[in-house]
Amino acid sequence: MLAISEFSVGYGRKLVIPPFALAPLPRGSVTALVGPNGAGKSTLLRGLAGLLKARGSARLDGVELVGLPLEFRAHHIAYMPQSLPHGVALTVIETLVGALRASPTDQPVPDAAAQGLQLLQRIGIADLALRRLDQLSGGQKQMVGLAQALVRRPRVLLLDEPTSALDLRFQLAVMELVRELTTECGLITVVVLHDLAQAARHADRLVVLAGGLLQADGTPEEVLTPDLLARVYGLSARVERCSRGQIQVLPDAALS
Amino acid sequence: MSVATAALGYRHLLLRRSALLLLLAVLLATSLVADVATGPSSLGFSDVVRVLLNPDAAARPLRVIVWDVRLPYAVMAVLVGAALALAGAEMQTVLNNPLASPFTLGVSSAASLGAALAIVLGVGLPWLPQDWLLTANAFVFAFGSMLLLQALGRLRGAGVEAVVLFGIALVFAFNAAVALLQFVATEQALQQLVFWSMGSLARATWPRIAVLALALLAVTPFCARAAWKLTALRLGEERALSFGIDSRKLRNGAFLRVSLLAGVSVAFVGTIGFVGLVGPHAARLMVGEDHRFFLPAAALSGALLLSLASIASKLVVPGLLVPIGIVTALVGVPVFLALVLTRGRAG
Ligand SMILES: Nc1ncnc2c1ncn2[C@@H]1O[C@H](COP(=O)(O)OP(=O)(O)OP(=O)(O)O)[C@@H](O)[C@H]1O
Ligand SMILES: [Mg+2]
Repeated sequence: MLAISEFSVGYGRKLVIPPFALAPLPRGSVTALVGPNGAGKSTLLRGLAGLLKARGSARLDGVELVGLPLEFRAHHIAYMPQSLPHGVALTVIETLVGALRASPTDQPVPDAAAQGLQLLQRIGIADLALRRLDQLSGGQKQMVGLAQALVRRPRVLLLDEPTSALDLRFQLAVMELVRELTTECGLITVVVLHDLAQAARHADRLVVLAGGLLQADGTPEEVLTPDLLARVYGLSARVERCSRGQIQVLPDAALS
Repeated sequence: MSVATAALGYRHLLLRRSALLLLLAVLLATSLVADVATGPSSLGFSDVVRVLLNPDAAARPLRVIVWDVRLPYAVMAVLVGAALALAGAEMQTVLNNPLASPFTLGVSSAASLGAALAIVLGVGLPWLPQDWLLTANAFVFAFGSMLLLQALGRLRGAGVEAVVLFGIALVFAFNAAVALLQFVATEQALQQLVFWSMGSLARATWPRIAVLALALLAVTPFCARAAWKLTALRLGEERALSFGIDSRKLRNGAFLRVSLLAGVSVAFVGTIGFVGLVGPHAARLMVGEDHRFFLPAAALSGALLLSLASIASKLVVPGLLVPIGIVTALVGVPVFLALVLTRGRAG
């Protein structure tokens, strides 16, 4: 269980997320973090992952994460940033082996390459294993970035827009995989998404952030209302269910 | 592709990379012998090997030529090449910039300033013997410039791009100071200074070689320990941090190693620019950026390049030893272009 209270993060003196509390996130749950550009979603994830200095409290199964040295925190948490760097002369499998071997406190991994390859196969990109990272397409890179986070077998999975560059099939595949792994390994997963229908479909819970403040928190049905969309996104939109019962968000016009 | 095929492919990749390292080592050994064999009185390849392996059995003149005259130069070329290229490789990784090298970020300019102060004004560390004064001054300045760069990088809000810019600014600052000293220098001092800054292996002696070899030996275990972390750093700073890598500590350690290697090298042989930039690129094209292979490959490539340059420096103008700093670029540029044009086989 991840319990967040009085949690605040920022850059230097600039506070992006003022003290913030969230009902506990249970194991085996997928939480979608949504909100407009610049809302502070990435900042919140960076704070939880320990990349930015945070204050307050974030307790994972009773262990306080705030103030825990990075190397111990990295033991529990995997974080997938929004971007991958350019011009890296490494093959996909090498990046996974590197991710496994570089972590300072992790147990020695007997066969990092085998572990990496199995994961690649599970994601469905085993054929990319020996390709150079800088010769992949944007979406392929994103899948590799996801693999780099997953391969470390964390307890908390923080994903920043993992599907933004993927085609429809892989968007579905990746989110289903995240769901599967979350259930299977009892992970606590937080995913930043922009596609609200996708968030509603794959997440148990939606947390809406705007201007660094919590706007709504609950099941997709509770949270996604035309009123909220107007308030948070400045959008006049309908929330409807398709013939299969899945929530669809249909934007009509930007409110001035 | 099945997992088994991919696993096999990965194992092949590792094998191929190990084989490339071995090949580089063999080429380097050959080049070293060729370097010793080359000179005014040309020696046979086999003669050289014989004298090297069994010095006591050789005739005295031959032994003197090989052991006291040519071998120090040849070994110095190898060590300096290895040190500068290794330093360049670490810099390029921790600064995430393919243009970073000891030369481009001010080490050589700083060493020149230190040398200039010693030559022109006689300023230097007081308790040192005269013949080490120049070298010590150059080292202190070179080492100091890297520490300064590191300190500037720690300023609030300065990222790695800022460090690169600081380094370039340092080059200009040091060069201006050297120019000022040249302006006020006597003709004799000026000549000495210009010759010093050209970079020459003629200053190689066994004690100096021992110092540089010790420096290389000292940093090697630390490089080896940092290899995985450096590899992970290539995936981006945020990702490396999320793996639990203290990127600041990693960077500081790398800078310390770079300062030592570059400082000692430049102090002993003067300005040799190209190798610290090209060695890492050659290595990257050959073995990629898994730093277990990348760092040794960079060191070997640098050593090979400088060894070849040393041979060339004796051949360009027959009977004259052209300063190696000049030749390095002449040899290095075509080698570099050839490598870049045949890229893509790195795998
Ligand atoms: N490195 C930084 N230094 C200072 N301020 C930053 C930095 N990165 C982001 N910010 C600011 O913090 C706020 C939140 O940014 P953040 O990246 O968390 O937004 P986000 O919700 O992830 O947006 P997006 O959907 O566009 O990714 C923004 O106002 C942004 O300008
Ligand atoms: Mg973001």
